[in-house]
Amino acid sequence: MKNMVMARTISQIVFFLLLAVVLVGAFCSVSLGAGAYLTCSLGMLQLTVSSRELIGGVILSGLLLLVLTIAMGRVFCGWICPFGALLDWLQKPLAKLRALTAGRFSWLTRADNRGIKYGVLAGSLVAAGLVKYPAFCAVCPVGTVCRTAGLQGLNIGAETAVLPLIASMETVQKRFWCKALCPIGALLGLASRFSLFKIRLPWNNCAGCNRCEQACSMDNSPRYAGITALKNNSTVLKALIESGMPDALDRPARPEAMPEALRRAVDAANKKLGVNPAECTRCFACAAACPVLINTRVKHPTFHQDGKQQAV
Amino acid sequence: MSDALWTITVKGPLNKPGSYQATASDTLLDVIFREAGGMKNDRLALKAVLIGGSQGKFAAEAELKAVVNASNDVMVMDEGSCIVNIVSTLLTYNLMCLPRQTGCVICRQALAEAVELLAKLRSPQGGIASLSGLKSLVAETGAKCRDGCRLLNPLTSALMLYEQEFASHAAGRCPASICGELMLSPCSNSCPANVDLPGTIALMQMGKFQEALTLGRQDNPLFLTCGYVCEDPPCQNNCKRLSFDEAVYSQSLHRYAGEKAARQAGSLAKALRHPSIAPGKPTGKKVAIIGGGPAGLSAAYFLARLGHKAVIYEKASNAGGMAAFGIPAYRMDRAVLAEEIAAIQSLGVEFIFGCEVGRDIAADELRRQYDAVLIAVGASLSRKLGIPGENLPGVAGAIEFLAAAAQGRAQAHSNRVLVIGGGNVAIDAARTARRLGVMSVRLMCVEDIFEMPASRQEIVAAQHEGIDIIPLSAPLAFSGGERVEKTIYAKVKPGPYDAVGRRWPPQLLTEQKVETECDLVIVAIGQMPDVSGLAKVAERRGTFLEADARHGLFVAGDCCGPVNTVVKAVKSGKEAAFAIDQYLMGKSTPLTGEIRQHIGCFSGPLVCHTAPRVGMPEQDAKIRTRNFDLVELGLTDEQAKYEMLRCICAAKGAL
Repeated sequence: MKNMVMARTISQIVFFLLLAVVLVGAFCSVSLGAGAYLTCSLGMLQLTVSSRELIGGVILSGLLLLVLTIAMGRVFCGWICPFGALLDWLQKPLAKLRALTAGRFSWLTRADNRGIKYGVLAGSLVAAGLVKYPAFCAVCPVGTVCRTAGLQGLNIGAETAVLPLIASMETVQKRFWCKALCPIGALLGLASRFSLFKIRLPWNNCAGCNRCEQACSMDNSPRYAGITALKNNSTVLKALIESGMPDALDRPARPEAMPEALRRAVDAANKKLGVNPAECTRCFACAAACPVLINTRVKHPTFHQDGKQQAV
Repeated sequence: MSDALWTITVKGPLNKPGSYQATASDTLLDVIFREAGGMKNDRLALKAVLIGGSQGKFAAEAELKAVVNASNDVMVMDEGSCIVNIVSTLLTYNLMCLPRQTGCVICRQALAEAVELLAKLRSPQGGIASLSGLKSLVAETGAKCRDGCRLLNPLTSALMLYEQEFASHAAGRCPASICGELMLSPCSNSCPANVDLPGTIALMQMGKFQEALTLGRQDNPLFLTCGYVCEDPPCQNNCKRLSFDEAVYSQSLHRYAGEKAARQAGSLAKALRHPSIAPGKPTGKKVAIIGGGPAGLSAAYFLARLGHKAVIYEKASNAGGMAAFGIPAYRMDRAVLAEEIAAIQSLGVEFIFGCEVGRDIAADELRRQYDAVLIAVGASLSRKLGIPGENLPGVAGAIEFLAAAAQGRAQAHSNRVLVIGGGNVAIDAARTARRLGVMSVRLMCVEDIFEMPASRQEIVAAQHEGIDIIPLSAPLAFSGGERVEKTIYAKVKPGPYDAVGRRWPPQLLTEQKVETECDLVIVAIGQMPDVSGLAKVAERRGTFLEADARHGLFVAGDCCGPVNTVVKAVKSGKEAAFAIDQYLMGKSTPLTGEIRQHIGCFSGPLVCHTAPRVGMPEQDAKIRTRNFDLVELGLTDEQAKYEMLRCICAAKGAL
């Protein structure tokens, strides 16, 4: 899984250079000639709402990202988005500051806040309809990165002011913008709900060490939320009650020690459940942090009675 | 015997779950313990019994002891289960899986509300509000529902029987360490002293042994002593590693951290000094602590860190109490305890030795001189059997015997020793007698061997050392001329099962009297506090003392209730220290160590395949009965390195 993390970093660098330095502004909208455009999905919706007409080329190009999301989930946020990449790169330098603010702004860092971005999405569409102009695009940090990181960036200083403002939220929480506010993320999140590719909890290997919960920048708590989702599944619930151990999934126990019927029910339910598909950016941070997935194959020594290492 | 009348189906963590025929005289406890073979994990006692499936009721003790009078489905839960979690799952099941028409409209609505409130109670957002919400919901629905719905039964009965557990959740603590959102990790939650175990072990993994030691000492001033004597630690009942193989051997790792840190820093004294453990800003308040045992020491340590002046009055000539005199030298390195006491002293705690309150100074005098008084005198009197011949020379209490042995005063002028009792103190006394050169040491207890309250490991070690155990027996009288010569005892028949599965009280079979020769009898059937000098000061509750917090009088340790282990005494002292701080300052001050924010995370490979825990290297059983050297030799470097990598839990906030 470390390979996936490496691949993601490379992908982020490539797309950052591509979208923000080489093809400056291409992400927001680029004319491909012959009336065809390439736009971001939210830009497409805003354009459609503000111009009150359906432009075939715009819609098709905007749908591209949504199709990708339905196939792969919110990979855009984790692998492509140049602003998300910036925030990811800021995580380490700001770790000390984050430790200082820990617990101070609990109202800001609540997991429920992730719903705000859907409000922002609706707001941006309404605003576009009212002022007949894709207003959100003017302050969109993703777009700003794409448009300003190149040579023309120096010209529009006022627009770039939004970047440090939003990046400063990183001192409170990792990827605060993406989690709580980004309307593009919200739009893709809606599509991501139905995505074919999901990250699943390897529940029969899972020891519950919670490393994934801390590795996740999107507050998904893969382990806790995964177990809770399993426990709210009606077939699993039935199996739990029938086996007479309602808390079999909460307590440390080997899966092979569980009753066969329960194990089968959990397995079946787990196949359908992904780790919060609407919020997960498929960044593989959880899988990379999982000790069970990574190094079950490392050999370790055995010992004699007196504590001396046994010769192999 | 009469014919089978009822069919009882028992489920849960039992040895043999299944359907059983109950006869007319059987109780539910008989079915659970006799037919179904008792609890699967003998470290986790029976906690709750739910009769009648997901719409059933939790049974009170009286119901368990009553004769079975109907066929039923019975769900058994052991102490590892959290009742709030169980009730939440049962109600979710009732809400989601039962047919739509079950129950009346009012009850179904209340059920949905209850499920939400229970989920909230299990999270940090819950608190008192959600508990009072649940209570009023149950009361209102009970009054409104006309059809006698059973949907809310588990909740209603659990709220009555396990009120304390619900209240504890409302205060933000899950006693069974199940509700993950309320705690750092299950191990540190279940450790009586709340030591941050994932943190200490993460620091060890990174090779920072002094920091690990310091992090442990933030919560437990006798951290290293516990590394030697913590037995059957509760942290290991909840280790997440249990999902693979065995729990991490944490206490021996802590002991190793002390040894390693001492090696790195040059001496243990240097390793124990760390800038993050410093006396607090002086408040000008003075607290007298009566008794310098683990509870008193722990209270003094936390009071000093909170900025109060603590003065310990100890009647012996050195501190440590039961940890110094009661725990034999072969189980604990006394030099380590002495160093830890010195570290507590270096925080500005004052010791007055050889001063017994009530004899050398009046308790009232202390209350005049100090802003608060903490009584932590421990339980230093051995309980008596109350049978003829108990006052003969040669019949001794275990505490007196162990204290004499610790000070080198006990000599072996006896050949046949009989120890009476089945707890850890009895085993300590027996093993000490063996080391003093007594050839025949026998131990008599009323329980069967597998039911003895002593820890499994100690019993096995004692048997290896050639100590005979006479189970299911109780002494009737001692006889002899100048000294005790004979003990007359009888076999006992175990009594009926009680609510936790003990067969209590046993019945004496006095017709089968047996005589046995012995020239020293050690009675180890429990202790009680020596409160002769404090009788007028503190209220008594049974043999224990009661605090009077409003007037600045506090109690901690064995004298306020059975505490038994060092780590629980530390907890008791810690709680008392924070209560005293609250009393003196009028507000509660949290103690946080900056070290906790800098734990970091070990990123190397951990041991993740199924791998057993390391075995503690021990002295050979043949040699060790001739000396008082440590039986457990401590982990070797290679073992410790491997064992610490078995802890896979992330210290919260580390990644």
